[in-house]
Amino acid sequence: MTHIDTAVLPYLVFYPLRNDGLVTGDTGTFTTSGVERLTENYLTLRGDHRFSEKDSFCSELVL
Amino acid sequence: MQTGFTLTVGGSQALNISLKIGHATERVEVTATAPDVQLASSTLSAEVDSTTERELPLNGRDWTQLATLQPGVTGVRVEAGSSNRGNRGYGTLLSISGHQPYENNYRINGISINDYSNGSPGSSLGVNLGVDAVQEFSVLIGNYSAEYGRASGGVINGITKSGTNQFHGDAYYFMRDKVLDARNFFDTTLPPFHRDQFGVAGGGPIKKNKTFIFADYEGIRQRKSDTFSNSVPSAAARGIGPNGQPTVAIAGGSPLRDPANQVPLRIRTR
Repeated sequence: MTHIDTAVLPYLVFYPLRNDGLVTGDTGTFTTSGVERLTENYLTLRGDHRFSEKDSFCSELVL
Repeated sequence: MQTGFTLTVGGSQALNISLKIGHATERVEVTATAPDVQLASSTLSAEVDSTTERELPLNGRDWTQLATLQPGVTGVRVEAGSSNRGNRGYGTLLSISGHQPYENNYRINGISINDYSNGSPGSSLGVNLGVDAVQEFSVLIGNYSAEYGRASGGVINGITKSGTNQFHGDAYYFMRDKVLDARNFFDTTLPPFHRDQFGVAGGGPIKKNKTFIFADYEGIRQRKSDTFSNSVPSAAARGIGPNGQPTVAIAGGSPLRDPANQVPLRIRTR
């Protein structure tokens, strides 16, 4: 016969029920996959200017 | 005229020119491939050129992955979803010459782009976008000169593209989806996965031989999940018998239900 303390009972609801066939004693396995959505943008803007054969300048912006 | 020299990013070449009497001018053209033996520097390094970047497949088009093509460089596998990665950044971890991944220095146009933990640069997706904007990069594996600081491991030294006298550009789209994948060992079903990756790059002259412009945009839209397995209280721990019926009684008001038949569980209290 199982005894569960009433102080624990409210917290058991936070544990999902097992959903595959693996059970070891008092524990089972809950397998899940939560979706992660990601959006990413990358922008580079570069300008170059040659003053002479020896001198040049460049500026770059990366977002 | 001397031929057979190629100057790559961060590289240096010895060029010994013999002067002859009677010649008023001497012209030097750098056009041919580099020699196999490095004579001008003791640095152990290798270059990844723009052709390699453009032609080799890259998962997520992360150009720093190409550093692993060089000897002495290996990727460090860490769980992408591990909670401590958030403290360290999500870039591709590289061990160069056996050093820790946080002892390298990543430079673009001479500026260090390491992340806040001195780790590899990378977004929350763990990739370094903008491969179309990188002209080439070198991987300094060891014995590099004092001009490269901030690292006890290796140095990834890249330069970006600039516009030229001709207008050039490209556009691309890559797609991955779970329907093209197989289940791994832990998947009970195929987890969600879809990735759209697209971009455009181009450059050209504003004023020929004087002023040039180059721009690159890349975007990712991804919906992905991995399969996670967690240990939870079994039915027995919740007081459910093998036949799905409660084996114990009673504490009315329990919100737990039998997963087999949704009968409210009734659990005995001490």
